[in-house]
Amino acid sequence: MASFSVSFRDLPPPDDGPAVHVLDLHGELDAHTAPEFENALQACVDQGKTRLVVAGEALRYVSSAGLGVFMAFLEPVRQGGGDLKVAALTEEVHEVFDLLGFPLLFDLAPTAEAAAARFTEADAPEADTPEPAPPTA
Amino acid sequence: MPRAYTLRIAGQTSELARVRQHVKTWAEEAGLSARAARQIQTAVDEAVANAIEHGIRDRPAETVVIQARAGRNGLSVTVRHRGDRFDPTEPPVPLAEVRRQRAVHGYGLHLLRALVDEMGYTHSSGTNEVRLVKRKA
Repeated sequence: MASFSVSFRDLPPPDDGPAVHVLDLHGELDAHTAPEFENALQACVDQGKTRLVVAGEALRYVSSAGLGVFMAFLEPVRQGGGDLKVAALTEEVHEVFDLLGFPLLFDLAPTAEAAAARFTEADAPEADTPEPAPPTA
Repeated sequence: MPRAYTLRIAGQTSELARVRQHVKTWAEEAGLSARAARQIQTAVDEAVANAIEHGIRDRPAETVVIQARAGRNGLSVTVRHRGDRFDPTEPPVPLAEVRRQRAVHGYGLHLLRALVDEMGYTHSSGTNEVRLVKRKA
């Protein structure tokens, strides 16, 4: 069975806003373990935390089920005035993000600290800025 | 001399990590690069997860059989189950549209297509078979 866990820590905000909450992912995120990640993110949202960084330094694997969890929380968090940033992905995991074009949607940073530094009230992303629809032939 | 492998698993997502571990070993024995090995590992994970979630659904007593053949040109893997028909070769919703909708599902089929050199599907006498091929670079 895949080993997966989430640990939490806070980083100081770069402004006068609320703290930045970091979710450090460990292990393998697949169709079996994705609900655990979903629960962790849901707990943050339930507590009103919207400055979130998911850090993947110790995440060894991600499948589409795990990516779906990232996507499920992106808009709710942005609509709450925050963002779901992604940091410190390993080469293996970044490869999967890249294949699906997720760097177009998520703010990716090299470290959790670098991601946290990007949270400023002035720079808060728009709540709903979907990609433009592809041109029709 | 080609080598053949067979793994039978219960139709439960808790088996996915075991599948990935076996595919990694088979890919190494086939002489695939580390990157190609990761890619076929993820592709098989997606195919098996589809078999469990869309084919077998809520009949966990059903099994999925994964067979592989490591030859001079690379690794070919078949995933068989007798659940509901699910054809991963059918054109999926375009990736840009899935992303634009911020969909939670719909990424796995795109990953499958991107990660393998060949993909085939047959349905015969109630058995679904997905065939994936990863060639040596």
